[in-house]
Amino acid sequence: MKMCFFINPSQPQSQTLKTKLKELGYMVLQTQNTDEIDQAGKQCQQLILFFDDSKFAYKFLKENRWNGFRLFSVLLLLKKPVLSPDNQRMLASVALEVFGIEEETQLLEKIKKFEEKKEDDLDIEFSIHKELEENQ
Amino acid sequence: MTTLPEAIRKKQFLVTDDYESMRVMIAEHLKQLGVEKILFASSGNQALKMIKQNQGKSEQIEFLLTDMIMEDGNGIELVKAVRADATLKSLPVLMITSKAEVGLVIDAVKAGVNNYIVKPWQLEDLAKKIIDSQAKIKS
Repeated sequence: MKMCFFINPSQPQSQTLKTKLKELGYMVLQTQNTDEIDQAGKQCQQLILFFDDSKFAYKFLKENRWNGFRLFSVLLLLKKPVLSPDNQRMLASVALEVFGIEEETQLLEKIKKFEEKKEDDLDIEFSIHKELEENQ
Repeated sequence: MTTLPEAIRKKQFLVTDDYESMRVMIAEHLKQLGVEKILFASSGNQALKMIKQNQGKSEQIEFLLTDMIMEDGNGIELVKAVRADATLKSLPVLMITSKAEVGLVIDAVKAGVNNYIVKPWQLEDLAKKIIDSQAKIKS
């Protein structure tokens, strides 16, 4: 089962993104309930989370990542990507992959690569991210 | 390929969970196991209403899969209410719990749950637990 959660309730949902994800076999749901996301993530092993705002994405994931959200991988999709190295580094510490949906041509490729990630990759990524986090 | 015996596949299932994502995932697995008739409830109270309303009708609930902790009427209370009705004593009930809720399983069994499965589950385990829940009703 492939699942994507649209997180920000205020955002005008990107219909194009929804359609693309559905074409790739994703169930698209909207929630901010961290317990639901945690349970779904553990069942699916991988989740795509779509945020409108990078600051909110960082806050939301940082608050939950090292508690519940650590047994599955997250592809963080952002409506408005923040490209400064500092912000990229911050977001990389809370998600396995970060991608701005404005770069539409690469979106399918990015999602497919994310789906191919193995558990070993995930362990390595987590240890790197944890190291980054601790050094901040 | 894992599947359920025909007698179980033909049953009307009711999936009760307050999280839409969980309802969708459980239903997806039931479909993979060959179940075609699936209804949904998002709370224990709604599930009980559906079970009672559908009794004796074409959509009579013949197998209940329920989450343990829900905001509006939890799974254990639902099962207690089901078992309190003599006509529902033979309804198989499989409870779905998270690891954190395993301590409540004894209460669930006392309430009349036939078996339980811990999230995240594997398709094969779900099939085994469904078959076991049905067998416990028969015995």
